[in-house]
Formats: sequence, C-alpha cells, structure tokens
Amino acid sequence: MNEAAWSLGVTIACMSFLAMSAYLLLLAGKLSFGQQMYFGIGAYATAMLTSLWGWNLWVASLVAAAINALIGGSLARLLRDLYGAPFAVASLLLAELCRLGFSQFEFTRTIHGELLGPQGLNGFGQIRWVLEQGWNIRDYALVVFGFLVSVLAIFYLIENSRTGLRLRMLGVDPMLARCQGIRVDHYQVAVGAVAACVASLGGGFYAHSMTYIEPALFDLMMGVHAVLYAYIGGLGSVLGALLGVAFDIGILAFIDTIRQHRMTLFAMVMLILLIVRPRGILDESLARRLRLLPRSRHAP
Amino acid sequence: MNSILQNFADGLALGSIYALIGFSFFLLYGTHRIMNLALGSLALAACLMGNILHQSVGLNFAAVTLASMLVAGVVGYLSFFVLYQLLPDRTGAASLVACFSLWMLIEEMVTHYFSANAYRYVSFFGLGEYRIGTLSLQAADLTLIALAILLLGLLPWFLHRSTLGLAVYGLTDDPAAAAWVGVPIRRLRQQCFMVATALAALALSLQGAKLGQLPPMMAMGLTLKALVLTAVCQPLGYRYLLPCGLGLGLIECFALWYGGATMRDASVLILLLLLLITWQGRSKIAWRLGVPSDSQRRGRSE
Amino acid sequence: MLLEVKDISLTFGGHQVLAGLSFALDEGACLGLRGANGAGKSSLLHILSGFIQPQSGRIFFRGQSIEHLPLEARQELGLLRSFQQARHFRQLTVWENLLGSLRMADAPWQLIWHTAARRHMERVLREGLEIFGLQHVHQTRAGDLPLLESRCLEILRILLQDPQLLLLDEPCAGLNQSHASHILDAIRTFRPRVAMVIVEHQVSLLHVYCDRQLLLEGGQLHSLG
Repeated sequence: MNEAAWSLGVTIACMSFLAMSAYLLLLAGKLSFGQQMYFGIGAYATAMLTSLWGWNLWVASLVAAAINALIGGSLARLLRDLYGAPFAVASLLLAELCRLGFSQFEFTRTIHGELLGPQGLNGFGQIRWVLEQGWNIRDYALVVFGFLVSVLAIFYLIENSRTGLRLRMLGVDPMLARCQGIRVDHYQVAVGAVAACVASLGGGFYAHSMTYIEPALFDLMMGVHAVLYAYIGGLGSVLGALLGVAFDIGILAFIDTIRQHRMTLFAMVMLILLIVRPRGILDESLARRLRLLPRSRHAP
Repeated sequence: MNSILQNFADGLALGSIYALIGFSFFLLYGTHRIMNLALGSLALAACLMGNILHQSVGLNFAAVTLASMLVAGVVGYLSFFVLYQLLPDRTGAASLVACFSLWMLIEEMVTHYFSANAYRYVSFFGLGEYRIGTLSLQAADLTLIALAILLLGLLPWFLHRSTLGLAVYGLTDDPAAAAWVGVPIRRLRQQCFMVATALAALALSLQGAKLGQLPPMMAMGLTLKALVLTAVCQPLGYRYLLPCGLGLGLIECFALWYGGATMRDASVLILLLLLLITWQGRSKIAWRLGVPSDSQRRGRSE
Repeated sequence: MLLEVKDISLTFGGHQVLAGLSFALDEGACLGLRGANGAGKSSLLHILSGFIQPQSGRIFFRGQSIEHLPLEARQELGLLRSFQQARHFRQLTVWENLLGSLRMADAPWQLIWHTAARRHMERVLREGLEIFGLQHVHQTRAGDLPLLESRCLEILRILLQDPQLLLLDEPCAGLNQSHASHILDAIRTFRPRVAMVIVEHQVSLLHVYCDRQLLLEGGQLHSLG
C-alpha cells in the first residue's frame, strides 16, 4: 500500500471515532449534530500537549479524552430534558459556540525559535510529534487502527451486554425505561461522557496526521456527516458507523470520476436509504442475524 | 443616537426575516411534525431559479419574486413527497436526518450548477435607500418589516375566522380529530408545505434584493436562527413569533455594533441556547414537539 | 400490610377526581378496581406508581411513606405497573425486551458474555416465555406482536423485575374471556405471591381472580366485597 492509501486509512479511522460517538448518542435516543465540538477540543488539546509541552501523544490523547469526558458528561446533564429536534439544535449551537471559541483562542509558545500553538482564525500548525518520533505514515496508521479496534471491541462487548440492551431501551422509550428502573439521567451522562471521549480520541489522531488544524474544520457539516455515517452504515451495530465512513471517504472520495460530485451523491444515497432502508445498511434485523446483538443460545 | 436608530431599523428588518422564515417552520412543524431544515436551501434554490429570468429576460423584481414563489411551491411539493410521503419512518430522528440530507443535496446542487454570476440578485424595483437625516432605510427592508407585520398580524384572524385557517389550526392541534370532521388532511399538508416554502422564498427574495446577491451559504445562517426561534416559540404559540423574531434581530444588530461579528454571533448563540435549555426543558407542553413531556419522561407530577 | 392509602385527593382542572380515598392491601392479595370511564381509576394508578402527585394524602408501602418518591424509586421498592395501551420497546425483539428487563444482582458491568449468570438468566426467561406462551415469537419485534402476545409480553416484562405489587391497568382490554384468563393464570403461575391491583371492566374476571373489589364512583371508593 502506498502512502496515500495509508493516509486515507488514517482519515477513515479518525472519522470513524467521530461517527461512533454520534452512533452512541443515537443509541441512547439523542440526535446530536454537535459531536465535532469534542473532536475539535480533542484535536486542540492533544496538539497543544504534544507541541507545546512535549507530551507523549498517547498520554496526551488520554488526558484530552478525560477532559472531554468531563465536558461531555456535564453538557449531557445540562441538556437531559431535551430530546429530538431541541436537543439536535442545542448540540449544534454548542458546537458553533465552541468553534467561535476556537477562532478567538490564542496560546503560543516559542519552541526552538518557532512560535507554536493555536492562533485563532489562523489555526494551529506545525503539529509534528509523529514526524519528530521518526514514524512514517504506515506506523502511525497501524497504531491508530489499534486504538480503533480496541474501542470497537469495547463497544461490541457493551452492545452484547445487558447494559447495551438497556441503552437501546432508553433510546426507544425513555419513559418506559424509567418505569423499568433504568436511571435515565445517569445513563445519559455516562453516554455523553463516553461519546465525548471517543470523539476526542479521533480528533487528537486527526490533528497529528494533518499536522494543521483550524476552526473552520470543525463546522456544522462535520457534525452532520457524523450522524449521516451512523445512519448510512446502520443503527444495528457500531460497525455500521465504520461502514458509513468507509462508504463516503473510502469509496466516494476515492473514485476520481465522482469525487467532485461526492457530496451530492452522498446526500442522494442518504435520502434513498432513509426511504428504502430507514435503519441503515446494518440495521437491527441484519445485526441479529449476524449475531452482533444479544440472542438466546438455546432457542426455547 | 443615530447609530442606535440605525441599528434599531436594521434589527427590525433582520428580525422580520427570522419571523417570516420562522413562521414557515412553525407551519410545517404544526401540520407535519417535521422540522424541515431544508426549507432555507429549497427557498434559496427557488429564488436563484427565478433570478435566471431577470438575468436572461430582464424581468423586474416583482416578476422574479413571483416566479421564485411559484418555483418554491413546486419544490415544496416535491420535498413534501420525499420527506413525508415516501419516508417510512417519520419519527423525530429519521425525519431530521432526511431534512439535513435534503439540505445538503440542494446546497451542493446549487453550488455546482449555478455559477457565481447567478448569485447576483435583481434589485428592488431599482429603489435604493432612503435617508432621513443620517438614518438610512432600504426600501426592501421597509417592505420586509411591513410584510412581516401584515402577515403575522393577520394570522390570528386567518386561523380563527376563516374556514381554511380553522382547518389548518385543527390539523396542528389534532390531526385525527381534524380528519374525522372532514378536513382533507393530505391535501392541506401538501398546501402547507408549498405555502411555507413560497413564504420563505419571498423573504429571501427581499433579502437578496436588498443585498444585491444571494449566495448559497446565506440559507444556513438564516435557517438555523429561524429554527431555534421556532423551537423557542413553540410552547408560547405563533403569536410570539413576530416579537421574538424582531427581538432576535435587534439583539444581533446591537451586539454587532457594540462588539463586532464575534460578539454578535456569541451573544445570539448563547441567548438561543439558554432559551432552549431553560424554556424547553421545563415547558409543560414540550410534547407538542413530539417529545415526551417533562413529566412523562421524568415520571413526576405535573 | 403491603400497601396503605390514606385520604388521597386529586383535582384536574377544577374537577375533583379523587376525594379522600383510603384503602389497604395485604401481601399476596388481589384487589379489583371497577368504575365507569373517567371515574379516576387510571389516575389512582398514576398516583400509586408515581406518575402524578396527589393534592393531599399519604401512601405507605411496607410502612414507608412513598408519595414523594419518584418513579424509579418506587420501581426499586417493587411497585410496578402496566399501561392501558401496552407499551414495549417496539424496535427490540421479545427476547431483548425481556433480557433487558430481568432484575437480578448483576456484575458491575452487566456483561453476560460467557458467564454463569447468563445461563441462569436464560433459564428464567425460558420459563417465563413458556408460561406466557411466547416461545414461538421470542425473536419477533415487539412492535409487530398481535394483541394477546403484546399483553403477555408487557406483563412478563414487568414480572421479571420482581415486583411486590403489580398495578394492572385494564390488562385484558380487547381480549376474550379465555385469553384474559390465560394472562391472569400465567401471572399466578409465574409469581404466585405477588400482590395486585387490577383495574378492569370485565367483572367476571374480577370475581374469579380478586379477593376483594372496590368501586370508584364520584371520587369515592365503595367496597363490593
């Protein structure tokens, strides 16, 4: 595989983290168009820790994820009474506020005679930790894939547990879930925190693969795409989110002849899919057949 | 003092657009339980198609706006067909996602298939601005404000005194009951989709005439603010759309004057977010948005 | 005494729905509640389950005052209810509805992958499915179930949460005598000692299954033996 393919793989992996975070919230019944906020905070925080203070990328990613988990959990608590369109709009507004914050945020240090750090609208460049370690794109890609597989494995275990079932119950009917004794508020906070964590990981890896980030990257469209990936891929399993990302970035962006019409095609496919297969390609019934959801080992 | 008056006038004009587009959202939500996020881009596409008449044949603003509204009616019907008739899952999440997809599709098509030249919009009957001392008033702005006040001012009469209005009001309140008394639900819903899109096109056409251009990105900003305005006004009722819309426009203009674009955006976003959180979360009739009421979800007393 | 209700009153929009209701229920007993439509039977169940708060009055469950407790807290005490229109997690299968509802001491992460707890859970669920006659639909989506199976699923889902007191709001509405009896017999088989308050219009069922019946009329309760 050449460098361009590995680079594409890293992009797919990073966007997969974002799509998984949107998917997790959808499972819990919350449609969020603002997950790009955590992606962006993760990107900035991780990049600052590695570029300005020389932290190890993996430690910096985890610290940034922890910060985002705190923010995500707090916002989930604040927005716990909102569902549907109001929640979607509120998440969108928060993300736009955050992006506005990025455009005003300046924090620089002079490292080896070079001014490094976020510079508002001018963005944050020279994020070179990976290059400074002497890694090539293949090495970096393999590590990112390793993180992705680990997160996927955790998601898979949760989806196949009663916790995962209860999360789905919460997403289908919050009131009935409450009647069952499911602590809806606690679950919402936990989901908000975990989703923020996952998005943050993706943002950190994204910043270090691009070596430059700016506020305009983390716009509304990124958040919308995260949700659309989850829907296209299917809501039956977390693998659906990866499927959606692979479809858009892997296929549509890869094929030269349709690259310039990629967004048009993506939107059209989305609409057709919502009509023909509303729960996505890997919907719940297919996920059950593929044994991706809990089922009885012994049919009664 | 003059700056204050100028910002006041600009704020009223901006707020009028929000109120008009917000009413379109309100109408669609009330009759379909859909937040049609594609409304702005559909209306903008219709305006650009109408504008082609001006660029090719040299028609004036009135003809272009009329043509735009007719085209908007047609695209409104088509979007009704896609978003309401064809979509099997019309629950909140699926319909929102479908609306976003339609929005993206329209915006991409407009960006790809209209040249930059097409965004130059027809002027408002060649009328520019009027000056009263140092106060500058655009003719299009005055028309927008008058239109918003007229339409939204007459709305209570229409909804409660006319047969069609009562049918619409009944449909928003209880579709099943409306069907039982013979209201043609499907036809009325189609018409509401078409009227809502046409009204949004009218508002955008006036805005385009005032600015001299109608770029695709304009739809997103107006849509978002009108949408949040609608979400905030839902528990209050349609009567509050105009005052809330005008208020939002005023806050935006004064914030821009006081602290620049960043202050404007931040203050509007924070205000809308606070209103959404504090109002919606505790609204006793939040169920109108298809969201379980606060008491249903939390299992507490009302 | 399992449940004690004292002087419960409720007003809706100026109309007195419940006026100083009082009654008590022993462990394992079954109380039938009858009344005309709009008499306030469902409102009483809403109050007992925690959906709405009464204007005045006290509710004691095993001696503990619960009128200010929220829904989840009452569920934890073992006070559970069904709805007039059967409610399920419609997109999940019967099996998934039941597995997610089963109440048992869980490992902290509630993971059932290859654990002994899983075998026990499956045994309990299979027993419930057999008793309620849902074996043949266990992989069917809850939203696609016919009426009888839908009712059975709702009841079984509640019973798996180990209730001490069941509040059943017209559990047999729309069912014939035979199907209604099947459901009530299944409850007694699966959870013999659970106490019940049953709101029903089918008087013959209440005669057979209830120890005592109350008539709600004019906001007041009248004992019917």
